[in-house]
Amino acid sequence: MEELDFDRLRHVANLSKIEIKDDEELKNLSTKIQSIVKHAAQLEELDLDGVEPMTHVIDVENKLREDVAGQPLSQDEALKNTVSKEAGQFKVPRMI
Amino acid sequence: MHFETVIGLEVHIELKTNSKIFSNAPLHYGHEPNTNLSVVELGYPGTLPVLNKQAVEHGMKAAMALNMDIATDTKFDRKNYYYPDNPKAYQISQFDKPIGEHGSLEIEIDGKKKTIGITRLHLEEDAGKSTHKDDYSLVDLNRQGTALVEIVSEPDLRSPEEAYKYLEKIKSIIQYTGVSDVKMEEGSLRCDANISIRPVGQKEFGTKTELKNLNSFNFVRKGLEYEVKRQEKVLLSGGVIEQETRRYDEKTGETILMRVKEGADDYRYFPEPDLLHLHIDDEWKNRVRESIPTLPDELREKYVNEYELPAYDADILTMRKEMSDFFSDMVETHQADPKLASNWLMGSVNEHLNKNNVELAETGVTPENLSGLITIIEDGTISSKQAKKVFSELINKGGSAKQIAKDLGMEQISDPETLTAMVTEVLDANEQSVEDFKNGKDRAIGFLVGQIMKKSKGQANPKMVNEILLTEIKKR
Repeated sequence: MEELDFDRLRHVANLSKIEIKDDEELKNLSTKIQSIVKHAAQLEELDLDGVEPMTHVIDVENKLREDVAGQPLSQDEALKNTVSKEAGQFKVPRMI
Repeated sequence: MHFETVIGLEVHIELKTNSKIFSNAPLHYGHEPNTNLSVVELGYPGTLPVLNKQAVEHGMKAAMALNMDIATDTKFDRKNYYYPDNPKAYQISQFDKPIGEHGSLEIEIDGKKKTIGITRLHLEEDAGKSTHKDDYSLVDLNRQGTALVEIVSEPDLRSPEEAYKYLEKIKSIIQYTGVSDVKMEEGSLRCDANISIRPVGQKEFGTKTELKNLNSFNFVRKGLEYEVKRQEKVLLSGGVIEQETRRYDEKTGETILMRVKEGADDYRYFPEPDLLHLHIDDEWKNRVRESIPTLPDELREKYVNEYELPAYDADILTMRKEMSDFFSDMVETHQADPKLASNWLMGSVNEHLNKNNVELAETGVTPENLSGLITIIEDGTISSKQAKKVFSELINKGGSAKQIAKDLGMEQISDPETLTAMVTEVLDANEQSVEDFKNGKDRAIGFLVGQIMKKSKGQANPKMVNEILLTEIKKR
């Protein structure tokens, strides 16, 4: 099993946009996550030679729709739940 | 030290569908912001994507046209990233089972053919579009959920020029399949480039940089040219190339550092649980394959070998399907001479299209009336000078070349009897000139021709006037 050191933990937290206040919290998280990873790692004990990877639980395929356009939301409806908008657009903190 | 350039390109192409890839929201370029949306694009909880069949078939078609193997069993995956132009915080894409793999296309460099490998083509959804203001950004999500294919080349390109040719070829092939408008100016074709250099003879690739903001094929070429020089300079001065993303600046022609890449991107891909597997059987593949028209390479061969056109002409005519369809129609249905047809299309027609920024279909010319124009020039009804005027009417207003020439009163007089009568009249009125000519003054003939042309208001067929004039003089 891969070592989950603090650096890696910070990286995962960063990817998940989770803010970690201090080392104390990191330590706390580390213990919890280690146990989750350990639990999941039990799967690695199974002998899966020759077993096709399963990516979906239901055995149905090719549910497609025809390319027909419907009625879109109005601009007002689309922007209804945003807290900040301008000129018909979503207003967000500067990205670059 | 000599370096070799290694380039790989990632091309994104928006597919032309009536609705989004995972919902029935419509899509139109240039609509008011946030008016092409459903709850699916907005990422509302509880909404589910349903795959657009047309998007799948367009993707298959593009992959087939690029000589790829089409997956029989494929699926979609979640690519996780947080960004305001992506409300779900993930993009539905394809990770380990792209719809197309192992493709290639051919480019021509200095008259030599070169095959460029294409690693993969996968389906995904486009993101929204953001505009950056001073201290905030605005997001228009209309583009969100537009069906997209990403086409990744092998690192087979060895110069900016090859990259340029590759892009032109992809653009024309996809344009022929009709699955996209491939308009870079409208963002329906976008390109990122990976570039590295290595000492000639070295096997390992050098560290690559990624170029973004390449808004035209020309900028791709220029950005890459700049980057080759920049990397050479760094290496020759003992430096190392950092793995970084750089932006091409159109104003200065330079590439500017955007960010240094630390470690690989971690998108935490996993199979998309909201979409079912996609199984593409042979029957479906064959049906899509049959809908692919003759592609530019094959047409080009035909134009050169069968119609004996110069390679240059064949290249220009096969850049867009509308153009080669028009040309083929002129030659095959209306029996126009291939080279003459090509001259008109590459010359006056293209000039008009470029000048007015219009498509062929928006003009008055048709394969029939342009062939008609060639016919009346060839049979001497009008002169090539007059043809320019007729053409201008034709392309602006449409109609028949013959009728336009008639309406403009410019039909050449080629009737021998009418011409003979005119010649006789002029000879009768200029006995002195006839005498001069007979005494060896060749110049007199020019004067007589001038008189006849004047009499016919410039409409007499000059070649016939000359012949008849000489015959009539001899009789005197």
